Amino acid sequence: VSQTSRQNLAPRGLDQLDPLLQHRSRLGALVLLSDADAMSFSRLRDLLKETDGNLGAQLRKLEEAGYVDVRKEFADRKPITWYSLSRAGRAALRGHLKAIESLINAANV
Amino acid sequence: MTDIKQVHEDLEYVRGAVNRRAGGLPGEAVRGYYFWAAYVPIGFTLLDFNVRYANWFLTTGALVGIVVGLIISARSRHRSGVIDRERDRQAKLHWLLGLGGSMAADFALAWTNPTFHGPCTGQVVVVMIGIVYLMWGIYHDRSFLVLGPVLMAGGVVVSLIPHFAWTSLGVVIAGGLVASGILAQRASARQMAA
Repeated sequence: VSQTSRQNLAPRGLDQLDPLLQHRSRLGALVLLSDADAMSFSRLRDLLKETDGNLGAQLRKLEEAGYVDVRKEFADRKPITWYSLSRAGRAALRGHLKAIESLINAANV
Repeated sequence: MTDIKQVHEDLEYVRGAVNRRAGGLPGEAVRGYYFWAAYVPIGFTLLDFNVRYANWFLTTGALVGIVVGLIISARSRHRSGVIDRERDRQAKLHWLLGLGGSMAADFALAWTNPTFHGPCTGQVVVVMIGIVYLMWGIYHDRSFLVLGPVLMAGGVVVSLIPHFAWTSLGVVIAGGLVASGILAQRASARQMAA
């Protein structure tokens, strides 16, 4: 992408990207959660191929922003943390994906 | 700074995760295949030797199978780490109405049509269950794309086998279930490794 076309992209999509979702783990987590009622931490970690520490930190940011809801329970005496997409998270994801679409369309690739 | 290359890389990463999510059944759910693989040949073998016991065994077993299926489904939710109520609803409707509807239609046919009786009723229900399996394979789980046609073809050709036809069909169905289970587990492992 040339410098000129990159400059042209900015007004059409870059400023509409959600800064919180510009991290791929956080974006991936929200996309996965958008297709289920809830997912466990370990399932998200396996699907995203992230370490416990990194994914935990990224999910905490999403939780603090109100993008995901967290619920803890025990099954077979083992703790399970369930994550689900909140209404705010769904709206943010929709807006972010729309901005990405605009970016890609503007880049004409 | 975010640029288009970075966006593409991020989308590739997300696509990989979504593909892994789409792949295969968790191990717990595959155990249901092996339960039926153990159960079906026993019931079908009885059809060759004692139809009365076979009918009792197959009817009771179907009810036990439904309960076992529900337990496996509930356990697999925790093991798989995914709660998807819409998919759960679809699965329950498909299997309960599909299998129940096939058996009810078969009984209704036998009751209303005097020429439709004996082994023919068993063949028709096997073919119908094969269609139910095939539909699940088309829309949800590709491992059933093998098992559905095996059941359908088996239900048709069983009348052409002179001896121990039902036993043979039971063994073929069990083989199909085991093969489907292995295929599903391998597909799941492949997707997770990708």
